[in-house]
Amino acid sequence: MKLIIGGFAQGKLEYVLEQVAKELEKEHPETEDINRQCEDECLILDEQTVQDKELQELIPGGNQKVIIVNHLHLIIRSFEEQETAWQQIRHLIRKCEQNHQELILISDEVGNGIIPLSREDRDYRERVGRILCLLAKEADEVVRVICGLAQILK
Amino acid sequence: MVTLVYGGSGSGKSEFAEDLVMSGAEPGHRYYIATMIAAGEEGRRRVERHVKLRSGKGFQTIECPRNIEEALRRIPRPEEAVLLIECVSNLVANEMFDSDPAGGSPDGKIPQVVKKVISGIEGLTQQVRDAVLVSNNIFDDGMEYDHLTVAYAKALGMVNWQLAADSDRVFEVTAGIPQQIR
Repeated sequence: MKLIIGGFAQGKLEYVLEQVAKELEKEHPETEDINRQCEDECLILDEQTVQDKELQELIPGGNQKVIIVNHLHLIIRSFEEQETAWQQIRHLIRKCEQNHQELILISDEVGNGIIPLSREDRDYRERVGRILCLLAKEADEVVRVICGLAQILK
Repeated sequence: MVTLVYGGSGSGKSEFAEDLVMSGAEPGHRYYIATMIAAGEEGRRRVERHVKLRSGKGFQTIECPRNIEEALRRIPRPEEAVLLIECVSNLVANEMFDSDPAGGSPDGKIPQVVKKVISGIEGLTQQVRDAVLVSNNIFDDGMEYDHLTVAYAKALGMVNWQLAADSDRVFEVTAGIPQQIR
């Protein structure tokens, strides 16, 4: 599993798609339409696709190589308890490991501002921060994207 | 050579950027391209602080809150000039909010603002010897803002990552300490 973090509007998803396209190009040097290849082999999930479903239900049994979960911070926000969110994400990771080659999680870093006034916002930032720490421990690769540039943290 | 200096508010990015220009150009060729419109008491004080920081460092100031490429007309020998453009975040805000108060949704304006700012900056930096661009990290607080502010942040984000890609060097400054990230 790869974890990609960074501030708002830093080009995280663009960076991920570029990397995935490079890998697919290596695997299929004969391909003419790399964008089409990406569409066929990648599935992108975000908070809109999640809604009230269990995260692991979203992972298809199909043959997509790469599962990308975008806006993970917003998905984490939709779970009120850190423990529930963490369990759901763990199930998602396990399910992906069984069925797909690669899982890429993308999250905003949200902890670097003024401490929010509302309890709810404070809990949200804390939850995202803690879960990112746990994910970073498990990840094979952790990348921070800043100004569209990748810093390999792990 | 083009260098992008990036950092949060009060990170020391201006001072570092000034030092880069000082070490790269003789006094007669140092230009400070100021993009901020000094509005109100606080704005004036902020500008005064920066003017004071620069005093004695041999910069000539050119105020250019939008249409940044026009600064070129006021530089007699561009091929010898070294510019400090401060800062990109103000330029993006001025192009986005002040130029056309009546027209268009903020989201719809993002592509044209990004294009205008990038082509303006590149039109300028290609004509001069060196340029140091200063931009702001406003992206890490995780807060939710109104529609207008989010559109502005998206535009600035896109400008930053294009400038970073096109610059020869990129530094992130934290607590006055520069780290080269490209």
